[in-house]
Amino acid sequence: MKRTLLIARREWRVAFDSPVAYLVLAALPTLTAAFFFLMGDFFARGEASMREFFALMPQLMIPIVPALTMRLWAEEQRSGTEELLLSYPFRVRQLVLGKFLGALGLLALSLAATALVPLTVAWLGPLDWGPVIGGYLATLMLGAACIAVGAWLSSLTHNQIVAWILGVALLLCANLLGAAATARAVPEALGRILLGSDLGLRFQSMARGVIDFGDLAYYLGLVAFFLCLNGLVLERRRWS
Amino acid sequence: MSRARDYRRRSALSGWLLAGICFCAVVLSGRLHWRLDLTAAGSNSLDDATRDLLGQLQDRLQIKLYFNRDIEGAEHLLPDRLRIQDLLAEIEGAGRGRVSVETVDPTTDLVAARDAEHLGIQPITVQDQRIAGVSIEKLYQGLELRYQDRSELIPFVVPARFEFAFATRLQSLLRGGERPLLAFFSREPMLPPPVPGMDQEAPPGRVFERLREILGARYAIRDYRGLGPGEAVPEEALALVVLRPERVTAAEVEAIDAYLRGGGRVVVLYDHEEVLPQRGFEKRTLESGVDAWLAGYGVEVRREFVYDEGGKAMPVDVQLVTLPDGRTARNPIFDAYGLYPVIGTDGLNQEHVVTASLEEAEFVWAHPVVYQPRAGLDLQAEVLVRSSSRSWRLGAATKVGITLSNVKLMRTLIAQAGAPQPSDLVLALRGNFGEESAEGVLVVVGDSDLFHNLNFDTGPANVPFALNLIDWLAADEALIELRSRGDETRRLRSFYADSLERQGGRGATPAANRAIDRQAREDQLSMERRIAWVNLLLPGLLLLLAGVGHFGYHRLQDKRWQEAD
Repeated sequence: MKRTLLIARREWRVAFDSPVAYLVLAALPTLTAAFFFLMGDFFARGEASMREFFALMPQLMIPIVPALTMRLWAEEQRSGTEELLLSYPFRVRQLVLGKFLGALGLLALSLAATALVPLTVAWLGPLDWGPVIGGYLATLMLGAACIAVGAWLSSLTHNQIVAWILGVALLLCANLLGAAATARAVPEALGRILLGSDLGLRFQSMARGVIDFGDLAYYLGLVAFFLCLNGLVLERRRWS
Repeated sequence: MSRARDYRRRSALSGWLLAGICFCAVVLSGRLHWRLDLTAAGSNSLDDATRDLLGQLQDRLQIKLYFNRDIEGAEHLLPDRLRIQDLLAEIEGAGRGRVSVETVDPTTDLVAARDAEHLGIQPITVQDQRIAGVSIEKLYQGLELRYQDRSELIPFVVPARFEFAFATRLQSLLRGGERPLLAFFSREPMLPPPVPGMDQEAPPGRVFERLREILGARYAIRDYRGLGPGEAVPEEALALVVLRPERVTAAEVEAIDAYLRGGGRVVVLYDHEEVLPQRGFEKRTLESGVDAWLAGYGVEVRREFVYDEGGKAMPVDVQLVTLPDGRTARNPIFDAYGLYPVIGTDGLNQEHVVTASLEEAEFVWAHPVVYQPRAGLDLQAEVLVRSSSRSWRLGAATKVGITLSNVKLMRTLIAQAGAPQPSDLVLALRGNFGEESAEGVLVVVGDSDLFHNLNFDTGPANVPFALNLIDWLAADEALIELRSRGDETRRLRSFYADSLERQGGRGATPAANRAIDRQAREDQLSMERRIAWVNLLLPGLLLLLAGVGHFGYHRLQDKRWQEAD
């Protein structure tokens, strides 16, 4: 665990040495506040609720998370530091988990920067904090799954832009599975699987303030699956 | 060679591990129904009332959900549909093996389509506006409950109202399908005898027909045009609703009183006059015949009208506007009409189950209800609705026309009337209404027009009030709470109201009011903009400052190292 945290700390240091990290971190609070207060109808509805705020999250995660993860492995490959990293006395799982935790920490920091929004809403009216806690937990779980996907895609290429485009495309598809599942052309059994695999629908259930352990198991399974894929790619590269 | 073998072994192991993770995630996410509801009122979980009803099941309850899977063009409805299924899964769990849920698709299953048609589950049409044009999609969202040899139906499930709809149907099934009886006593014309296969139209004089229709969904309504020794209120009636009493005879009063003394529950919707808007708001005086009877219990419905400064906005005049093309248009001018008091939460008894969940109630030409306890009677009185602190009483001779001149005239009268005089509008008495009588309930409402066809369900306020009142009298308090679940709106503070308060309230003239209103709107908009921009810029600026500080610190350190070198 110590070595995993060492890698996570290194990720943080590298990220904050680049202005890009600050821009990406600032993007989430700025965009959410803009959509929620300026473009949305929060004041017109006159209700102390964060429903619309969290409804934006699955869409915002699609461009933001791949931007956080695109450089995780692609940059190491491009600059040639990956070989060096793989030659260190670290296990692959420590490297993968360390990088994942580093990126998750950045996302959590970015989410923490949005805390002004619920505080403002609570100042304006009697906010029910249950759905807010559920919403943040859902965002973190969704973000973790997206980071795992993004990290795996980043390990497949040495070009950050390619990693970002692949990440956006894959997450977009994962958010449209539910809609696809309801189409007439899709067989019923496949429809059920697709419906159960939609990232956004599971998110909405949690953002209502209902923590369903099935949803948690789904997100944790997704994280484990893509981290293992990521590990396999690195393992193959280490031994080739 | 050994390295390659080692890699293959690790790959195979990892492959198995991945397959295992996938399998566990899919199985667990489908099977685990442990859930934690974080909402303050547990509004996403089943209420205790529903759980109690499910606990009373002696036999298997079959729930058949008529959902079409293909909702192309109406995908926005998907989260709500999943929410219904989520609640049904909880109902299934709470039923402890006595509830089974089956989902059928009438668009692909011919048997289900025939059943849906037979039951009366009709698809609703949804307009799908896409680039290719507008297409109409049919959407099934009905539900059938079967218990023993009976069945109940929810033709279209509305997620926000699902639990209440489900619980009332289940309650009806558990009662053996018989609806509890509600007696209505009024001078309205009776319905003509039903003709099989033909829709029955109510005669124009049945001005409380909408109230009957809405209550009829849960209760069996029996109408009485006359009461007396030969036609008494049946003992099994849950409540007797006396609608706008007029020329009630002594024998009828005796029948009502006998029912009340026998432990009955009576609601009197009282009015001193019938206002005829089609005849220029002419008033027809009503002699109720129940004044002495009510006075016997210490209740008097005064003849004055309740005038509330915050009355409902009504079109009081018309403004002619010339359009750019030269035509003229008539624009209605709205103003607060004081004789339509809108009672907010400050006037609704927050301790009483009938009014605690309501946000407002709209009264129409209401009269004050006054109570003076009578010696020898042990009655508990509760005021359910009271007019606001900015309300007065206007004499019985007041003209009630909804015109600008009358509104102005009433304002002048109020200016001369002195201090405000809030009035009780709904009073409930509970206790023994005589010697050797069972405990009864008498509710007196100083208005009947609020449940008139023209006013009853035109707004959102009065239907829940009527339903809550009847459910309370029918001792279905748990269902009252269930009905209002999820309805509580957590309102934002109003910067408009803050600004009005700062400016010292409304002005004396319309021109002053307009200026105050304009200022209040400007203040509200400016405050909203300020909040939005602070939220938009502050976190970004803080992060930017942190970045500048970080880079500045590193540059300083680099400089020091260079100097040291």
